[in-house]
Amino acid sequence: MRKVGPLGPILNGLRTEETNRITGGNFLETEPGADFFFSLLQESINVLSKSNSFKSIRKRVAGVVLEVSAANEQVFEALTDSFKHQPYANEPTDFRVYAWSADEERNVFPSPPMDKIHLGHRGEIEKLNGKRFRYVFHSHSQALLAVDCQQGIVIVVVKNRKSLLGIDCAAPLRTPLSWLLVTRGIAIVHAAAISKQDKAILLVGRAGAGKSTLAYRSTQAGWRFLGDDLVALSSSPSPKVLSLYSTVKLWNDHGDSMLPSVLVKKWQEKNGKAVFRLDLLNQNVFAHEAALAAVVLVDRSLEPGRFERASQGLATSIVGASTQLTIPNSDKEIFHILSSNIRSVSCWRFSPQDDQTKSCQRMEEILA
Amino acid sequence: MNDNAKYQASYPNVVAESFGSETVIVNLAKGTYFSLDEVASILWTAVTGRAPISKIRKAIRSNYPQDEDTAASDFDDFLETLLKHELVETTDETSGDFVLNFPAALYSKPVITVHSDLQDILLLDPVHDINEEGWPSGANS
Repeated sequence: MRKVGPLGPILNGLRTEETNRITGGNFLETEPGADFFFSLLQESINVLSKSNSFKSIRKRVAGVVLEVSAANEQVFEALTDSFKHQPYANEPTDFRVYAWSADEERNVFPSPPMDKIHLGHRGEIEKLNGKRFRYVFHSHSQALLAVDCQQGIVIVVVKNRKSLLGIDCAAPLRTPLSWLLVTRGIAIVHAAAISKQDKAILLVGRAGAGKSTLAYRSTQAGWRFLGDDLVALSSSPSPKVLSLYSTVKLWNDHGDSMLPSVLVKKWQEKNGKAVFRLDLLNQNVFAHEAALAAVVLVDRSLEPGRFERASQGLATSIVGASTQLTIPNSDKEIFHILSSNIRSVSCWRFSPQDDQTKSCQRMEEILA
Repeated sequence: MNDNAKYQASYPNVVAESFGSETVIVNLAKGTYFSLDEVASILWTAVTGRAPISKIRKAIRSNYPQDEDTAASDFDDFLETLLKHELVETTDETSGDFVLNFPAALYSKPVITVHSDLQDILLLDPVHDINEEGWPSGANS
């Protein structure tokens, strides 16, 4: 069997008889295009769904209705745990995710040995990606994700269901969600966000600046938690922050001392930092969306408690850089949405105090 | 530098947004961010509007007769910075008319700030750019 091009290594994982049955044996001598490979994966899902029950959930996430279906419990939990705080949706589905683990007994999917394929910063399979069909390989979970941006469909093939254990923030879905959301004018950015009285503050800054600690501590002072690490922004009809995930990433000892251990499950402990789930806390700590009112650059180079006006350009640069905008097609639009949001609001530098109550009071002054 | 050269923002990797008098430019391919002050923003608009360089330089000289040599030299430096960071590329397409609306009668040097200190943020994505140990171990650590 001869296979060529960037999909060759992927297709090597396919069982010959299954591949031939699905495709009629027509493609193995030539390079399948992105569209054909997607239809192959879709057909595989159809085959699997006849003999497997997919567990599904439909939730409102970041302003859209997201339906996630997975063929086994572990994969389902890994992809949906971080959305548990989001409300169930009755509206029509905007985007569908179908997930499958390739270690299932009846494997018609490829195990994706991507070592021979050139991957971009986020694992994008660069030569294959076009405007409609896109592929990304999430190295940590060994998941291949195929996206039809036009139909709003994501197909996730995980090499081994155990590889998803310990993954935070539904991480494999981040890039596909980013691609899909941007088609609706919504951008996923790297920042934390909190709200009070439906007005949101976006907390941005370098790693270790204290934005996650500030975000979590503020929930104890009457603020609501919109997100940490990744949140979504919409600029139409007016700037708005939308919640994605319910997790917060903290220094491990900070998290242990701040969070009630019986309620919070740690997802990962590496090099002193850990991801904590907040969805087991009181649901009242969460907000699902709020109007963007201000951007705060958490900056410890200032005197603690001090805040001063900051440049909108600098705020945009920090959020844009930390979001790792590197893909010309979709990321120009993300940068545009980000800029539209920040252009409409005031930006501040702020150095948190050790006394978080005072820090929260300062942020109320900013919000006012 | 070819005086008749015309430039546009490098496609598809460069994107720019204005914030009042300030402009932020991103080179998506390199992950570098640039802030331009008001004067630099005006020059950016002129350069990427495909006006011949000779026309822009002439307009600068006539705007600042007292400082025309300094202003023209600063413009050349500005253009070199744009080229060095691959923010602009040459084009054969023709441009419309352009007007340089400088903010003040007194000359002020265009300032373009390269945010190289953001590279570390860019190069370590907290979710994806990881090695086998998982986040937060960088892919190359």
